[in-house]
Amino acid sequence: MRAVTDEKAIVPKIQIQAVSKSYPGDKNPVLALRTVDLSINEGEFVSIVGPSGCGKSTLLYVLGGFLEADGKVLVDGKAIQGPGTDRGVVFQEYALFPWLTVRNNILYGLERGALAPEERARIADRLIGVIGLKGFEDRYPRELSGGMKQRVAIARTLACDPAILLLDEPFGALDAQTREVMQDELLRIWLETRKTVLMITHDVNEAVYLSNRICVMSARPGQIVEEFKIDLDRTIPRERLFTSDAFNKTRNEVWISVRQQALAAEKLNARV
Amino acid sequence: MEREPSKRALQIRSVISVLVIVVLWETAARAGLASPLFLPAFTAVMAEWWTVCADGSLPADLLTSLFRAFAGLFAATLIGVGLGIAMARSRLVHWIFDPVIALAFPSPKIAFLPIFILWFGIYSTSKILLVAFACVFPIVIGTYAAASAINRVWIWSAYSLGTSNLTLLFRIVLPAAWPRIFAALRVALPVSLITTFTAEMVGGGGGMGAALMYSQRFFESPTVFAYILTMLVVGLLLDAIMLRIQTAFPAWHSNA
Repeated sequence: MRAVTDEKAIVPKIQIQAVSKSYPGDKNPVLALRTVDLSINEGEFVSIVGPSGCGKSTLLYVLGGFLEADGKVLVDGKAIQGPGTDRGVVFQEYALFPWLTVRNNILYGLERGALAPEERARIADRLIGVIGLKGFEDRYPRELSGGMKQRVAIARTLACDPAILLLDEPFGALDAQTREVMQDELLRIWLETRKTVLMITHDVNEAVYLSNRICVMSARPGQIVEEFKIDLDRTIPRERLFTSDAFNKTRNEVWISVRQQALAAEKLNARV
Repeated sequence: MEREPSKRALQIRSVISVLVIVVLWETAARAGLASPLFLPAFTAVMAEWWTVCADGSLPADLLTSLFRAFAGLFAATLIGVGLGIAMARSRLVHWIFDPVIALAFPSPKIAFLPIFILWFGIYSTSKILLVAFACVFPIVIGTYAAASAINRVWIWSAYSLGTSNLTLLFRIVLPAAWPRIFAALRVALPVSLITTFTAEMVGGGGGMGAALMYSQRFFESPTVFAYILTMLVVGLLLDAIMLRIQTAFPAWHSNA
């Protein structure tokens, strides 16, 4: 018994081993990712930041099982077989089903499961409460603001209770104020559920505010060039955290690292 | 608030332009500019229309024709939507059918009528199959375009919410493609009417087209015009109904 628990503690939740991905280009294939290695432990919140077009979303799509790639992607030590309910995904463009109401969007994933209808309805009601959209259950996505849509998308993903959350620039399309509110909600949800999270973002503040660890990716072909462990007190309010020296020191370190990669990307594009 | 009167103005304008034609027609006929054989007066046509309606012949012909048109359209919808989605989801199916469709789509389907009559007789079967044959192409092409353009994040989201391939078809692909599939059906509906009427005119076997040709042979011009006017009105009404259905589901016409 001990050996089993020990092994479980050792095996990371997610293992990405030597993953490379190329797309067919005009003349030659374009290499988007080059031998990326990344391990994420259970309950960790890891962010990937990097210049735009560096392949960070590609890495998330590979992990989601939507794209095939060279190398190994393991979840709980087992190779993934396409997409699965163990990995819930939230996309920047919301990806709500426009022909379904808020409630039916949230119920969608539950209908695929084995739960009784009353249990599904209970979960949906609870999540609608969690995201603060009581009274909007029967609205269609086109009737909602961007922030509300993304709340529904998060609730739809949480409904299936995935062990892993994959967030692809989830707040990138929102205005600055809404984005802060959503970050606070995500942090609260993560502190409650302690799910394993991989988030793609290009907002350094967002990454530092939410993550345990930040991986900086290089310009295309994407590789992880630097990692930052973040050790901030998540329980203090946003205002105090953002004005603290510890936060700003880390933020500046990450920002300079990302900036170097962005400048390198500029140079690369200029040469082409 | 400003939209309301302008829409109404548009309707009034349409009514006026039709009225102008009717008045010109009536005046020309009454003035004796053309012989009643070539151009019977509008009022004479309406009187004849009432007669053929009252004796039940026009309603019976209309029912025959509409049955053929709808049966053909229904078959074309089943085949066209199925094939269009299969082509969008499977490269093999696309390879097989794309050249065939490219070849047959621009061809005049009515040219196949003699063969269809030879194979399936002169009554409803050959007409229904010809209508299906004529309507299936716009539906396949519209469905294929719709199903290939589905937002990939919908499909990815569905898969990671536990959707199987078969469920994906009915819960995601069909509803996501539905607005454009319906637009294709709106194109196919007049095609079904045109094909039915034309096939009946050329091949006989009852229905509006055959009755029209029959009256023409006996120089019953008012009857011919009465049938033509009925075809116009039926086409207009059916398209208006399709438009109503199309705008009744606004939730679909958005990219959330």
